[in-house]
Amino acid sequence: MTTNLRALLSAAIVAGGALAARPCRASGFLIYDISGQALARASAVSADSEEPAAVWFNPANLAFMGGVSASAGGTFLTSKSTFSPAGPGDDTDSKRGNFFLPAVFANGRVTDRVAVGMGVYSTFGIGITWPYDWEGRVAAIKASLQELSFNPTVAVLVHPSVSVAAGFDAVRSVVDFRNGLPDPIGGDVRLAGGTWGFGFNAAALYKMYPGRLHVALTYRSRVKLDFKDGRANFSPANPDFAPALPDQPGTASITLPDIITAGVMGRPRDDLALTFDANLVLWSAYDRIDIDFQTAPDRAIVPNGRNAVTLRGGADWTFPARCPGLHLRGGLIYDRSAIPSSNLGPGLPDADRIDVAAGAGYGRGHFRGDLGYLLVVFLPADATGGQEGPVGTYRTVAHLIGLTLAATWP
Amino acid sequence: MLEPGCRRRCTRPTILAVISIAGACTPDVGSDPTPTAMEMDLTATPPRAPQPTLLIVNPQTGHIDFSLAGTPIPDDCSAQQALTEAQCQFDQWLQTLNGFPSVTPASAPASGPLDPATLTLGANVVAVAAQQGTLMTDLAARFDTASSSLTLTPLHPWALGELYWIGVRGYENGIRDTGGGPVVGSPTMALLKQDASLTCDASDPASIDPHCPALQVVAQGNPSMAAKEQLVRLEGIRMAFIAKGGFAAMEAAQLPKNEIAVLWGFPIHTNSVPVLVPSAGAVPRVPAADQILVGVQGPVDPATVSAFTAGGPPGSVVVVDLTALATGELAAAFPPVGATYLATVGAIAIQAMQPFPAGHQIGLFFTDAIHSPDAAPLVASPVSVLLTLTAPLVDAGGHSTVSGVADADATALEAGRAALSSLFDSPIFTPMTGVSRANAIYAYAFIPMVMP
Repeated sequence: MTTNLRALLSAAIVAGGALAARPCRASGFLIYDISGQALARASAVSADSEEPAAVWFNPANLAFMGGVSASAGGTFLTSKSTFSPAGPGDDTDSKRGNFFLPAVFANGRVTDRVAVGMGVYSTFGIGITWPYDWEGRVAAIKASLQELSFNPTVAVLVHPSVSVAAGFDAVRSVVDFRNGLPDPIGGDVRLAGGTWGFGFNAAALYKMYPGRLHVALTYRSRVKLDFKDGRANFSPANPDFAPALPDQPGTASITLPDIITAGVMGRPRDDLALTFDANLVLWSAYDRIDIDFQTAPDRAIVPNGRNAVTLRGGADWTFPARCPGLHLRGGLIYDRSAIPSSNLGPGLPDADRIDVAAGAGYGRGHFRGDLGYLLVVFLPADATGGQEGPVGTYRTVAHLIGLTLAATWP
Repeated sequence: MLEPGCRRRCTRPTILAVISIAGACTPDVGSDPTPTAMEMDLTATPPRAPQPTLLIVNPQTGHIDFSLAGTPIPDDCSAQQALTEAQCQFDQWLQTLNGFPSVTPASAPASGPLDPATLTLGANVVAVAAQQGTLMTDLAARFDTASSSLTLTPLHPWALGELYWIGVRGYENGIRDTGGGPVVGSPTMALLKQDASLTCDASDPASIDPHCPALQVVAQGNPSMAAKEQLVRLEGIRMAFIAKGGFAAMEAAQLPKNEIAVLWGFPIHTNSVPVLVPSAGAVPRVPAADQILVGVQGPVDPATVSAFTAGGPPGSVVVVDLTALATGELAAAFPPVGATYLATVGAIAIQAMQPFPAGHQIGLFFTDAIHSPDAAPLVASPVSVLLTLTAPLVDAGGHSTVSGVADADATALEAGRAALSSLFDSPIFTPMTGVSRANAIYAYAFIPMVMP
């Protein structure tokens, strides 16, 4: 390992720590799009990623990348949801959420056949805040799940056209939920906690016709997050309930789902790469969250998650003659809701989504910068069950802007 | 491998960074102190709630019924383990009454010590005689550390047949705990203070709407039939508090509902009762060496008061010279006496032919043959009942076996109970005098000392 690479990896870890020490921001639940370059292509890059963020999208790409690279950046996300009750009543808007998801990557070739990489990034998150006194307050006033993954990985070129990779995921996660207490108790309860979870990933890349046709397959394991040190602060509005609801420890478990991705890259022309990825996210692992309090009544959130497919298509144009180093990108995503209507609640008002992506990148010498924009349109989602929140319809629009700065040394 | 120098340079910040990440971002949710509360938990076993309480007066029979609190009293006290035998026997007696004894202290449990200075009668602690509509001030309010309860002791017996409501003002304007903090109520009290039906107007458990707010609270997120049944019971109590004027009585006494930390009511039995409270000095009075007066609360039919004389007709008042009896002097053991009811002083007067022998212990017994003018029999006072129990009043450790009776009082009473027990158990006393444990409404032994 070169001194440069060691320094880069160390810098990546320290940078990750610095980012995590700031107020954590995250939104949605799976936020796959964490690189400015990939985001502009709808993150359909598992078979065609030549940036350090391949650690996340498909680390098998690292085996084909030369030298040492590092990138830093992140995704700014802003979203707002609206709830329209099924019965009479006014619509309720969530507070606009503005979040920044950091991402730092580094990679380098160790031998002719072996490369290593390291990523510190955030890909799962929930972040929504509703008005304090809204009708669904008992289900959620504020829901926040923040996550930061530390992902070292190794890629091996097993054949001139085939590489495989495996990595380890250490996931730091923090939850912070605030729910209203039912009448006649009133007030709210806030539950927060932090924990570590661990998982792994494996990937493969086959360059059937190098530079022309690539296929990829990746797998990321589920990560169970056991929040054993949670604390709950009960603040009943009716003081008669305060002695029965003292502040106390609480525990909960949340499982981040497995992700299986299959991807293909085709280059019909030298200056155009078309990519297609399909993610299968096993949200069935996210079926029930039991919040166990020491003395207060336990609570169960039952999202009853279902496995969902996300389809991604992207394009990358280059202009080698007129403007070397410039990339223009675009993409489309269809994302299936992970939560059935019967279990839809305000903590995660999921919906089928259609996303439109666009962006550009420019590189010169050792450095390059990439900017991407993603419009996420949530289709209206009906909540019909009434158990996880009020009955009605959720509408959400989100905007993501990703910026990545990268440097490469041969 | 890292070079030694780099190992220090690189590894240390890495470890520090990881450690900082591990602790980072976990929000501090804060912590609030738990306030002291006036407790009312009807689901605890036994219930931890104010007492005495009308909640255990059976509306069908009009009598005290512990089964309403989920703690039925067995018929055979010797064949149960849930209660001490003495407690069981005492509770059996209570269940014969149509209200609580007139000397019963009232108490309300608290989750922590209360500041006695804030237990101000009429202001923070409001007791109202509902039928008379009067504010009670002849009470002693204190915090009993042993039971962690606010205790109200009547300086004079509660009025017979009266319904009393006691409310405690809590929160910012009310009583305080010893730390100076406000005292709050209980979830049960919060529900009882609701203005709307707890069952959302459903009259039976099965028809309660699962989304009914109070059910969400009682069911604790898991609506079950048991929770619904509990809610129906609470709604019954809420309605009883309203129907019997509890909240209205407090409102009239300047204690609004939203300031009530705990409210409870209790009826006093209607029967007249000979007064006996040794700890309060309510014992037989000896105005002359040959006369004993026993105060009676409530009216008495004079015709039912008669003295027992050896060899004569049975009487409702029996006087025994226990000292003479102990020495086998049977003739002297039953001194000739007369017994009359003195309506002017509200006492049964016992007039002996001769002064009672100095230093002799005299036993007094009344039977339930003494009636009030409406033909209702007099009932015993609690002390008389304790003295006639077959079970001991203290255990091997010297502790009282009857709740509400202090260890010292129980120890003092136990000596008398043991002495009287041998009398009741003797083969000649009951057949001769007609006084038994079953019909004794007054039993007391003392050495008369003239105090005009």
